[in-house]
Amino acid sequence: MQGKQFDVIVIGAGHNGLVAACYLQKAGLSVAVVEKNDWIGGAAVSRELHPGTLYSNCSYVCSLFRPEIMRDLELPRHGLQVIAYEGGAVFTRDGDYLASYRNHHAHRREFARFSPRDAESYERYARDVTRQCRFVQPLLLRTAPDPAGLMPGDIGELLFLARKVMDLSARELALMARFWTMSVADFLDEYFENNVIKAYLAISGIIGTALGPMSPGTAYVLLHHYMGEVDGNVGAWGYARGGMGAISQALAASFRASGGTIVTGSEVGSVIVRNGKATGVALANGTELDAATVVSNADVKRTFLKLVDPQVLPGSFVKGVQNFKMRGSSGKLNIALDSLPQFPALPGDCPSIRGDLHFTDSVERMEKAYDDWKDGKWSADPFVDMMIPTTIDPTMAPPGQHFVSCFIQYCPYKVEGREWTQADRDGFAKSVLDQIEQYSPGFKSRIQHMEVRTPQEIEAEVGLTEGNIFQGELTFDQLLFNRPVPGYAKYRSPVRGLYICGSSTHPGGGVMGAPGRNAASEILKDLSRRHSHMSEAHEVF
Amino acid sequence: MKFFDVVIIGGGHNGLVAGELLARSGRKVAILEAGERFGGLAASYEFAPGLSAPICNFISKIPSFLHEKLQLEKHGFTNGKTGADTISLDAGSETLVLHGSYGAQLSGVTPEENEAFQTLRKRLMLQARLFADLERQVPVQPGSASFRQKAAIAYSMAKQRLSGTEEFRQLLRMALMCVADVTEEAAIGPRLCGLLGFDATLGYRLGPRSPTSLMGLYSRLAREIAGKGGGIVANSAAEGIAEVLARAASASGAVLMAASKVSSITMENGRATGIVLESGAEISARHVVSSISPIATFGQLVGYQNLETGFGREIALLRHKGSVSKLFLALDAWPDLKGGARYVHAPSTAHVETSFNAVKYRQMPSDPPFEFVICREQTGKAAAIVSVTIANTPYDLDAGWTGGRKKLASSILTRMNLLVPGLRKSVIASEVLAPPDIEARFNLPGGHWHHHDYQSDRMYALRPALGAGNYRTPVDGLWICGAGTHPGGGVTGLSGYLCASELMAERNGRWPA
Repeated sequence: MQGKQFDVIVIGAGHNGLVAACYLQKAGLSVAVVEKNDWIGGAAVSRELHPGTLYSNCSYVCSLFRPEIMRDLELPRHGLQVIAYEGGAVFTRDGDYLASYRNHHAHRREFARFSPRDAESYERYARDVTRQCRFVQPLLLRTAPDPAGLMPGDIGELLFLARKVMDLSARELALMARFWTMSVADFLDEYFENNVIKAYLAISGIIGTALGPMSPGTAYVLLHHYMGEVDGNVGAWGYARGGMGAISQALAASFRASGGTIVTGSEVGSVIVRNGKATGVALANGTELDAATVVSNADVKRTFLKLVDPQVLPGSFVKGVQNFKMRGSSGKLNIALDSLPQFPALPGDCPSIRGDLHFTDSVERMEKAYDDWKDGKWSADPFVDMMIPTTIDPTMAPPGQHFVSCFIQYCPYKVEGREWTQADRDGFAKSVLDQIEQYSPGFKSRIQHMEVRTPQEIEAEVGLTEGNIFQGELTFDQLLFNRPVPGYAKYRSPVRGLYICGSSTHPGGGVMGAPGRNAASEILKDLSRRHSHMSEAHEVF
Repeated sequence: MKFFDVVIIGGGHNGLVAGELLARSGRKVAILEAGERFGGLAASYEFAPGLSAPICNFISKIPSFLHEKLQLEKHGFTNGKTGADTISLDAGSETLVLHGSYGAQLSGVTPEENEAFQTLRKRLMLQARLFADLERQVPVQPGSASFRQKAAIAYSMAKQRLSGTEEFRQLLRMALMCVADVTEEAAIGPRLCGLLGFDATLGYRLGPRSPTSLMGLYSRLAREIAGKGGGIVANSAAEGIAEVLARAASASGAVLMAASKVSSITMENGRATGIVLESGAEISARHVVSSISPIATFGQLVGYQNLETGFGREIALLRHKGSVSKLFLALDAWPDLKGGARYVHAPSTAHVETSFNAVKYRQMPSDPPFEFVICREQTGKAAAIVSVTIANTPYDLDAGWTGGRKKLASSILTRMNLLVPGLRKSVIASEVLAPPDIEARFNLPGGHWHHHDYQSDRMYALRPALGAGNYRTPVDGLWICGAGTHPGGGVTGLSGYLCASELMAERNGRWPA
């Protein structure tokens, strides 16, 4: 690839980097994606870590990926297939379980088994949440305006937002104000009385977030997780056939089909800046690649504190980046099993085993897990989000065998201030396996291979600072025009020609692709290129 | 049957302020208080025979403009000292003191900490101006703002914008942050972090790590800006602001009726027409103003059956479990501390946060943070009176408050004795008021000094709920003006003032023929 000239270099082949690269390549620019690992995908990967078994060893479910991008980039044609799964279950300590179903009425009937009153409230809840999603969804594919900015673009966008807000009724407006600031626990208390139902619904409020369900702001995190859709089914989640890596592979195929170049195994050491303008990147091995535009898919801290010389950045910007909160709070166990685990609580034909399984039956237990994290400990009673994707996609493991993904909230970046040791890792894994074993006797004996991932491993392999899966907390001070740094929320940086396109930017984390698409849109604007291949957000009715 | 233009339920400071202003405007006003004494939580409290203590450590945060409007000096407001110091007690290190208006000067810190704190203070004071502005305005109701209201908000925002692009951006970033992150970013040292964390969360049912907890500090600073900087703490235990306000209201012609507990609000065709006392006596009125908790107002006096379902549900769901307890001490010797200052025990963010964990699980924290003031006792029965305010003590303690009171008093005294050696020995009388006690003694559901949680989802036009955010309620002729309305608790009198001004602006022609 040396000697070849590129218009754009994208640092990192995560899904957002690939999305941005696809759009830029399609606009007629020549784009190279440079990836440090020998594989692509960042945190959307399928890796064969045990013979014959594919691990979605970072992200593990799909929903948030914007359908507009999927269509623009023709991902189904390039092999992406997302299969919705049918709900899941929360196991209770008294041996019962609360199942969830995609079918609204089935779901409501199951709620009624626990509390008839909550089943009634669920109608009101679902309506309120859906309304808020409809308000926020179109904003995902728009660059957030700068409220302190006086450019016509900002004022136009602010007017657009104001008009949208004016369209809401007083009640919706009040609900929105409350949705954005409340804790998910308080929010759910306004609808439901049953602890198991509240625990089930609170899950989306804490995944990936260094906050407990009783912390204000988690109601928004819940909304963030609800905004996805599978096959137009808002709020549904699914598996990518072949694991989450299938998304990256489809993006890469789409990118290559339009003539793009991907270089793996090449770590970028620094971004070259001359006279306040990015002119290319220097690889860790010393090779320099020139390009007038550099797009970083790395998180904002890695990009501006490691790859760019701080001398060329304004002090206030560097401070803003330093103040950006990226807290590792999640861990994972990726497990290969020789057979399907049994859950005595579930009836034999229950479809829940194909969905998300949880063992935390009260909001208070989740909050206590968070308290342990605040003290720098992994939780003695962890919250586990467990999935067995091979129940729907058997191609991921040899016949009869299964891959299990256990996502654990909360897991600290440092154990009481020190680095993780092997004994710590074992202790962390044991706390999770012990919990699963209680609900699935014999689970441990089925294990053939297990990968333990604490925030430290996630940081080392994927490059996410502190192992934060969202490239930055989703608290209000880090959303919209504040993400990642006030005044720099438009994917541009103080260095001309250097852009950021990762989840550190609006609208934030999850395998969504929106940050990459929005960044590409801003870059094309700067280069005065046409956007004809880029759809606007679909109208949601 | 007696008839008044306005009958005010509850003789707390907001009720008295509203009563004074309305009576002065020429209306015939009655203020009904269930207890024997006026003033509610702004009054002093007799915790042992002949021994009284102020309940609020800051006896006045009434904004200057309101102070003048009510002519409080004329009515004998001489008590207290302005510009009280805040002293953070921490055994083993130099005493940290915030002098003047919330640390305009500091002592007991390193020069770096001092500089970092002043930078932070300046920024927070600037941002709190927006708060101070909004606290003086009647909240704009979604969809029905008058031009004047819109202009007032636009003006307040414009002032913030004119403070500079960077400051404006910081306001929009920081407004909903947690106080722990803000103080950590500012690098002001662990003791100041602990103190600010305590001040931001006291009474809010939030920990310093809970997002939006910086709001509590804004609220405190807004009152520094609007009132006499540094607040006023009691010098003497005998009289509080309540007595002064009661005198002012009386002087304006309001009829003050003690021991008059209201049992219900009478309604005719959906309009409030008066009240019925527990004694059975009825009083009719053109307007009924309730300064008591919205939960008691709507749940007990109006009745949920008389309200629209959605509104009733919102009121019933208001989070109203208090988490602040009081401990009153009478000492036989003046301790080795100066009067006219506020003392705080909150050594670090982690300390405050850990004790907050207990509230979430209805447990008693092992070493809760607290603040106290010391004042003189004039009858000579004790040398000093100490009024302690203890954070993070949950209303619904799992183990029950029967044994809890003693345990709490003992843990606080042990800690105080470490900070002020010998203090424990000189205690001659004490009493703990846990949230359930405050509930019982002051007719305050949940014993919550803000009546219900003062958090970002229940502020401004949403306080206490949509449809009652500008002191009017869905019941015609019924108004609310307590701490359960904008701008929340604290002895500011603002709710009473804003409610009275809205009522006076209302055309009188709404009385049905």
